[in-house]
Amino acid sequence: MLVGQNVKDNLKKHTLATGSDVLLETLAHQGVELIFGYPGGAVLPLYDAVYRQKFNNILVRHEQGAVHAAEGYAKSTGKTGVVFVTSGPGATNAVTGIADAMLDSIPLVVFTGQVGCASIGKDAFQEVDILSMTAPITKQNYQVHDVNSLSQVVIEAFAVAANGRPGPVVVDLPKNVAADLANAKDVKTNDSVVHSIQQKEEIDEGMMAKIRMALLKAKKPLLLAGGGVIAADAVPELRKFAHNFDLPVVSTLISLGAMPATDSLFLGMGGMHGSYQANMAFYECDFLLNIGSRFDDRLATNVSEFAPNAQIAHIDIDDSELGKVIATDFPVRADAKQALKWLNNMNLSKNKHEKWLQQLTTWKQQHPLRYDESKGKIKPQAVIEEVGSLTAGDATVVTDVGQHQMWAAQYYPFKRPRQIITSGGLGTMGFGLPAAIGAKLAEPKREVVLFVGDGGIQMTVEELDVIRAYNLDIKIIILNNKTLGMVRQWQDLFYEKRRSQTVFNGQPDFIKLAHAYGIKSVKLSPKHWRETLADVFAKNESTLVEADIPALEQVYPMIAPGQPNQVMMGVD
Amino acid sequence: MHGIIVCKMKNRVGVLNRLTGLLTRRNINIESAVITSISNNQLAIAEFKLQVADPQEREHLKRVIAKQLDVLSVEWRAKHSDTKLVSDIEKD
Repeated sequence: MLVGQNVKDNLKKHTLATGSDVLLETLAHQGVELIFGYPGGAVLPLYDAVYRQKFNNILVRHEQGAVHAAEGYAKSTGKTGVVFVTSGPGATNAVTGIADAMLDSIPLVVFTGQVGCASIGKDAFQEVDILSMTAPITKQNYQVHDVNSLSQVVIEAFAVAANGRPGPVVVDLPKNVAADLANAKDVKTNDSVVHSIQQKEEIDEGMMAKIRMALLKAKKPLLLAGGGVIAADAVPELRKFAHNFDLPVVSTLISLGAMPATDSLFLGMGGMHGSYQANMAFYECDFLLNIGSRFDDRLATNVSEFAPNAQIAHIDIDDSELGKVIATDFPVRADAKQALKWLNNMNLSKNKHEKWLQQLTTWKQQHPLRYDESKGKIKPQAVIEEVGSLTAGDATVVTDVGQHQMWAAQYYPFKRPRQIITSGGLGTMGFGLPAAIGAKLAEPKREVVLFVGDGGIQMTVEELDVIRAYNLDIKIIILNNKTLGMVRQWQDLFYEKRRSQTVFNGQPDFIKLAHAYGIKSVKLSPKHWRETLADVFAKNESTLVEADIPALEQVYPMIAPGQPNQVMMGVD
Repeated sequence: MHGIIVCKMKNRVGVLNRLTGLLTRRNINIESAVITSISNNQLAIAEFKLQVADPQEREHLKRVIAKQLDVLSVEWRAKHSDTKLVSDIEKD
């Protein structure tokens, strides 16, 4: 699609088009349906164009919320999320979200307002050097100094954000450029740069053939599916590959849903809080094929002892991931879909590792995820299982960060890609609530459930007002242990129970807080909590549900820091 | 182990900042640097003298630099280039 030419043609319809009009026209031609933003002095011309063009701007209550909402939108749709923030504090407030998107490879284009070109570098009001600040946490960033280049830069920014390994791009827009008048005939619209960004390299067939040979020889093969499989929309190919060749599959946190939780070949999530069989499979396998995972330290908890008996193949679209953490026998730079299609076309027999599959089944049966039912108390794992049942495992599950995040990963029966929306790499508390807003706006007909802790909700709680303002139906479930549970768990296990600053000395009344924001709320009682939850999910309205859970509940299994994957705590 | 990492890149605002940021993040000191513009200032060649002992880390550094959008090629060399070397790179 020649976006640039379309923009140019459309601009001719404007009698007086400003840089901001050029920007919005370009966004419209990129297929942008909505933006998440917050106005301010440096983006006054931009928001004037938003007003005039009636562009769909979701007005958040804090810029961090705008970026997380855009992440939620992007994660649930695969489309690029768009953010408008003002200069200075608006831009710095967006930084956490941008870093989060970088770590989890989420396509975003974030427009930051900037002081006028003549004031840049002069410590003007609300001026910061956002280009330098965001250089390490973006795929690319731009500052536009010429209104006629703006459309070209935006087109390039979208191509960069979405192609290859997705990620965030920042476009810094000085106020005068946003306000300058543009003449359609002078607007630059060369699409060739986009074509060069979109070009894919040929797969290394020689290395793929070696992978095929290794798979043929393997007695205990294992497939690790990472976020790259989701990003490449390669889930059908993954499932076909796994079943064609009876390959057991471990997922990462980010790729939950790539295989249905009920699939006999699915071993669950691997890593620090992964399932017993997934972590034992890493230890025992003799061939590990990693597609689209970056061997994150929460997955490969001890690099030198990770998959010690295996030859390792790693397929990743990002060349710099190959060999970064784990020495790889067969590195292939490729898009996951491209690689899986190649693998599905190869000639390979099936059912030659029955003993291995039997071993995995035995582990699964002998050491399932488990928790102790405790009379008179609401167990967080049970709440998540109940929500899984009430939503038939089909809701979009958004989490914040901490214990509840791991319980959700363990106990919700994920069955489709883009179903879990969570902050994996950066581990950003405060991510959940705004991300849930983005996910709901992306798919209004889909049930969206947010699991959040009492710590995380307080970091971006102001976004409750957005739920009210846009009348969104999101079920917010606070699993309240009155502590920063995951940090407290580490203190209990590794710091001799010195609970330094992790136990809250009092909390807001979350029920009243929701009420203040105009959102229905309910507290679960230990006796009738299942009935109450059923009532909540029977209605199409936002409800904040508070469940008091045992303060000292632990997330198990757990691999202690530095221990190899097969050494798990909390396993019978 | 000392080495020279040679980067051919587009001559754009901020590209050097991105490269030096990648080094700073890894606590790698730039012991010397030579930056030359070529191709009528459209491109530039940056050479950084660095101490990176681990071969795996050297390879990884090369790859993270190579994936920067404005970087066209990267290679490790034993010493800073002379004029002839620059002209060779320009021909690549």
